Amino acid sequence: TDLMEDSSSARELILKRRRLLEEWTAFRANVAAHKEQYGIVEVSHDNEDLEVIE
Amino acid sequence: MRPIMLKGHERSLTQVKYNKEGDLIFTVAKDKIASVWYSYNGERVGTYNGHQGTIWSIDVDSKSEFCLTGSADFSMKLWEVSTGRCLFTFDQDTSVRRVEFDPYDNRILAVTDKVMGFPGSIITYKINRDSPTQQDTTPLLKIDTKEGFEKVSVAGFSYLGKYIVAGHQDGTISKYDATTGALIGSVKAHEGLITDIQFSEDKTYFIISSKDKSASIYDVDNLKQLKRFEADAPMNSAAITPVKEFVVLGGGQEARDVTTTAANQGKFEARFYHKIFEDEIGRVKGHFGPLNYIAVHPSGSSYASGGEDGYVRVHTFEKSYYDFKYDVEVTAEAKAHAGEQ
Repeated sequence: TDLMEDSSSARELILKRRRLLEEWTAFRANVAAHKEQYGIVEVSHDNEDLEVIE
Repeated sequence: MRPIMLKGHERSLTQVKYNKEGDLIFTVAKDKIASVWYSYNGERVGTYNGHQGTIWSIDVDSKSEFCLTGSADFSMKLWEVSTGRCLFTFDQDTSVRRVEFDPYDNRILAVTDKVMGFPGSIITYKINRDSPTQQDTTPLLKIDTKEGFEKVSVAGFSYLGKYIVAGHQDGTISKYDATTGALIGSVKAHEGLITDIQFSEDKTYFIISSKDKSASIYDVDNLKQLKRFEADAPMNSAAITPVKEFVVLGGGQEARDVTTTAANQGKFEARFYHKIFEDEIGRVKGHFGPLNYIAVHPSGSSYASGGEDGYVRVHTFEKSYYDFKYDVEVTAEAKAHAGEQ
């Protein structure tokens, strides 16, 4: 948090970003909590099944 | 990594799409021929020949079995992906501006143009997958542009194929029950034409781009604006990246305005923004004209841009792309990780 002491504008920016991240995380958590209603199927992003073409 | 160039179209690209696995890229242009390419090397696998005019839109089903095109020749065509055979033609009264499969591949939608006594409509059909050459031409729904609304430019299905969300010429977005066609709500989202709509992976929110030089994210349930991205040129397309919390915007000065400006001032770059913090974080150059469409690989490993210049460029993301994080993200992840211990 050294950055927070640099200036008040830098501090405000960090707080704003923290708030935006929390809002987004809450929005996504709410969607995830109602997965069945949304018909969300887990999508895997590991590349285990991926055929690598050289 | 050097981008792959897909060279084959003779006119401006209008839409580009990856299939669900991301091994194929489907492209349409003003040259009347749809194409399919291998995404890993840019080799053209085949073409879909039959339209008599500009093809405005293409979509492929989740099994990569059928694809669908909408054209200025007043028709929408269903094709067999693997053979290039035209299976069926749905004739319309006006140009077809946008086509899409629903998430279950058994319904399709078409956005038809508003011209000369035709109101412009969102039309849905049931797709007969068992005998694809036999289709019922009676629409399931025909949602005509309502009194007080300007024409629809783009539309797509939400999660579960439950709603249809449309973007209008004046920047309004509207939401309909995809079963009854009833208008559920609308909101003025932008000051100019809505040029593109692309949904998140789970289809619970979507991004729209506009000629008003911006793009925004709205949630499906409340039609509430979640994010807004400001650009310095009209935007033609916007995509959401899986894996990373970014969005990619494409656009540029209109062709008629470009002759008066130097090529390097046309702003023909793909622009990356942080989806949560709304800041522009990077640009990728390459096209010699406006970017008309942006598609992101379903696993988030590359993106494809279709240009007014007639080229498709496929860029594979490098390590720095995956590593990029804001300090607050790093802190939040560390905190979450500590909490799990």
